[in-house]
Amino acid sequence: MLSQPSENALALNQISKTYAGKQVLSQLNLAVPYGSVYAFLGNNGEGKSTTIRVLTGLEAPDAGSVTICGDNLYAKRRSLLSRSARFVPDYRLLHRLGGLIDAPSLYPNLTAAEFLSIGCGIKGLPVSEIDRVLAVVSLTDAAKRLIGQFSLGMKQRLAIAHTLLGDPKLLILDEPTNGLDPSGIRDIRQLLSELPASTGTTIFFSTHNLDEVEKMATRFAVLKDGRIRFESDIPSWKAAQQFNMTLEVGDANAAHTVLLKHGFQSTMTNPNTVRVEGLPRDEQPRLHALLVNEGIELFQSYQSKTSLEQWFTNEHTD
Amino acid sequence: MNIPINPFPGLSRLLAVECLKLKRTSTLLMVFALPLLVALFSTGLAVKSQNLAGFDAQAWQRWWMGVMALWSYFMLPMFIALITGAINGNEHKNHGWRLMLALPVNLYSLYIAKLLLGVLLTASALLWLWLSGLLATLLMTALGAPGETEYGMVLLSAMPALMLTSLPVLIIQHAVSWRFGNIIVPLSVAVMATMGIVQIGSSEYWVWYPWSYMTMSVMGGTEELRHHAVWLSLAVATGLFWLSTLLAASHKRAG
Repeated sequence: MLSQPSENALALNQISKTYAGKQVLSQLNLAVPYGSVYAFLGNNGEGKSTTIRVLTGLEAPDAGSVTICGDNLYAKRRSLLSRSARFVPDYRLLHRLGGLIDAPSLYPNLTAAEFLSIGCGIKGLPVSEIDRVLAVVSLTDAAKRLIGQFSLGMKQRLAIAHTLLGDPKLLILDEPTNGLDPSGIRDIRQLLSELPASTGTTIFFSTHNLDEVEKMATRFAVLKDGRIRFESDIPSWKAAQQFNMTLEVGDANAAHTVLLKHGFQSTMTNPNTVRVEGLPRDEQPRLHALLVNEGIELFQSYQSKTSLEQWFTNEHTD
Repeated sequence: MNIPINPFPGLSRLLAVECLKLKRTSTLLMVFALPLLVALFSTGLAVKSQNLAGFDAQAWQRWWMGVMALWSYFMLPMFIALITGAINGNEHKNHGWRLMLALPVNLYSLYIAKLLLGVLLTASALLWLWLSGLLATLLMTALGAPGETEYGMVLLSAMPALMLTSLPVLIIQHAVSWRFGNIIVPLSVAVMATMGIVQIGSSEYWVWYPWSYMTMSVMGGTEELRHHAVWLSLAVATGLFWLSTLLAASHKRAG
């Protein structure tokens, strides 16, 4: 099977999905460039998991197409028992991706190595792959331990190791750091951040952890009501963001009055401190000059950017 | 990235994977324990109720038929429900469907591989049942019964027929446990079906009742009737196989 040249490792085109009369995904369009770490955000119930299941062949869409490295994942076929044609995934394309959907699916009666041998056996890979992926997630010492004895973090690592079997070109991960302790989160973030550069793997992941998106992702999209409401690369988003400033002044009351009068979103936090929110970068010099010109003593000012979490909460929650 | 020349895992590879999933579970124990239990139970009854020294050829024949009756009437349908429930339950309880269906696996192949595993385990249990019977005869011989293995050898030739006539029930139970995650459902099917074997199996309606084919292949009054049960089973199993495979693969939704 030949792939058509494509800029994108993954592309969704007009994907729609309905469950029990409710439209979960509505004409969803998404393009994940090769080598990117693409984060998929959304509140609970917005359709993230459904999207992940469509991308991994678990759920066929009602309409639209999914292409993996240029090839269509779904084809419309009529089964012997069905009156209408349905989308059926091409299982051969699933060699190109590693998928982690929701909580890890593991067999507690098997050891870690035995569990990974399932994936090796199905994909026709050599057993040396088992040692390789266990080393990547730092579980080499646990290869012969029963999965039933694993902690939640170890299970998550093992599930990620399973997705890495065969060095797939595309990883599709549903909340990959779920259940990990802080050091585990750090390790997995580092691993996933380095994979595109070291192996050329493209990563598409869903998450609730917005701090993770800022630290790991190169692009992100926000899903709401089954549609993409916002999409951007992280550098562009950061450049467009506003700042918050904290000002230590001689008279906070006077400073607050002046700032409000000139249209700044000011709050007085104590008799000597004023906080200004949503300040565009090019307004900062004007703010300093304004206070000085009004005779207000300005001892110190420091700024912080609006975090992705604040931005998401302000823009995309009801 | 390693992509094998044949990207579809063959049935042999899938079967190996399914066998691996049973490691350290009680499923393999059932294959050995249940037939042994039947043989030992029959031995216990014989020791308790009969004078072993007077165990003639007819007594041996009755003893072996008792073992086969207990197995085919009651234990085999329950055994099939338990092992098919265990084979598919592995995925239901561990969210294994999500894992398997996100791998490059054809759903039809997976269904057939699991069914094949059920067939292999049932065949193994039948063979072990016969071996357990032989061991039991040795035990009774040691306890004073005259040695007799001729009828046991005759019954060995009946094992393939018993295996073939269990195929329709295997397919039905496999389809039920593939669909329903709760083990209660396939077990309930097995219990209710087993209750009807004696009444329906001894009437002219037995041809419509797959659970009676197994007992008919062993206990059927004439050789013609026993052969009829085998051929009927093969025909019914073929139809059930195609229908259940299409239905299971069409409607399977990963949980």
